[in-house]
Amino acid sequence: MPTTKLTLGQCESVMYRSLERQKWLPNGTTEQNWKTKTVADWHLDDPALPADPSFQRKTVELILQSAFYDAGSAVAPPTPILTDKSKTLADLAQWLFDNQVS
Amino acid sequence: MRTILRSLLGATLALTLSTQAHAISRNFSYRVDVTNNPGTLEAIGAGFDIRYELAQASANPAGNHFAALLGVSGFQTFDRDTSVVGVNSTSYEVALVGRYFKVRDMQLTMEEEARMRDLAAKDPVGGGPGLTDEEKAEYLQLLGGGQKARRHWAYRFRGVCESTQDFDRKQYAVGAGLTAEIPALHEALDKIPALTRNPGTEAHAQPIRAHIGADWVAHMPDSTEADGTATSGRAIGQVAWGAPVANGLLLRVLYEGEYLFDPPGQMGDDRKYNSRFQAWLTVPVRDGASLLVKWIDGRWAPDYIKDSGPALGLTVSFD
Repeated sequence: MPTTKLTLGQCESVMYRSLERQKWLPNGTTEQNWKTKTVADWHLDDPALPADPSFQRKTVELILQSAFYDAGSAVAPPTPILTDKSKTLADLAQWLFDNQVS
Repeated sequence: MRTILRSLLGATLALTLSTQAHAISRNFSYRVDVTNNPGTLEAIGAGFDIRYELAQASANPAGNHFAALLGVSGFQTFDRDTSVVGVNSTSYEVALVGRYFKVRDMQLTMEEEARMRDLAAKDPVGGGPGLTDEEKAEYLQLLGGGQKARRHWAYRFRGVCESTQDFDRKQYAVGAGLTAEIPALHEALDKIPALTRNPGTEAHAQPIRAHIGADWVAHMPDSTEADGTATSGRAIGQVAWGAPVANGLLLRVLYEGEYLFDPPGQMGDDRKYNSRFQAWLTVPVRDGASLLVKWIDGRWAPDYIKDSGPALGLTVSFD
């Protein structure tokens, strides 16, 4: 059972490294510019598969949830962030920090 | 083959709301696309997709998890011609959806979890003092097997009513489907798009998504039958892919196909297999507005006439 709440810095690291490991960072993302990359840069489900139009968004949610679980924490699916194209990866990391479940 | 450039219009509105309480998450989403009708590119209308999902929520997403889905999707031209089957129509779906996910074979031990937290605290991405190359390699190893080890499959059992908007013509289907990523193939297909990208660009194509399904379709409209209806098995295939090209553009590819094992007599045996292939680019013009360049090929509702050629238009996104 998850028992630990990660710090914001740890959340940023787990988010970034898990997506990097799965080759799922937005194109052009680096360790220097990641905070400014937006959900629009991700092109998730673009084009949408008619039978499952949010398949890639769910993939990213599962990658993040799995990584947080592996780090001893737990987090809800970040759907509210991943469905807002104006949000940045910094917003995503903050949301994950704020929505950990312990 | 039609070679005349046809004007395209597109606009998108989308919203997703999500809440989670206890072990259940609730997700509501809608998407509306104002565009030329996908069959003939003649009339303008709205494509819509509205979904409500009750999903099993778990701290550990690995393994199988299930959800119940209600969905309404379809297309309606603004000229309100409700008699055009296959274009001005709506699908009403009830489904049980299962989702299988895995990035590793064995769960981490408590010591490995603690080590992962230590490394995360040192990571300069999160403001930490820095990681040695060995520590970074250890960290990535703790994060699982990478893209090639990832397994994400979605399977569903569904019942669907497909009808015109006035319900004058309708058919019913029950069946099953599977959606998954096709591993590795995108790396081979990306060889050509990669040639158009600037050297050193941190860009890559994502895995291809594919869906296969099989339905038993009943009450299909068929004027050649005494009771006016027919039944048939139906196989469905869909493929979607996006690859970055040139300087920040995205090439999109979408294939939709269906095979009717016993098509209604009024459609004819040559309508057993119907498909549509589309490939397009959007070139940003100004905030939210883009020039749309598309190639379409295939046979699709309402007239199933072989159609192939380029199209040019404008799309606006409000999401």
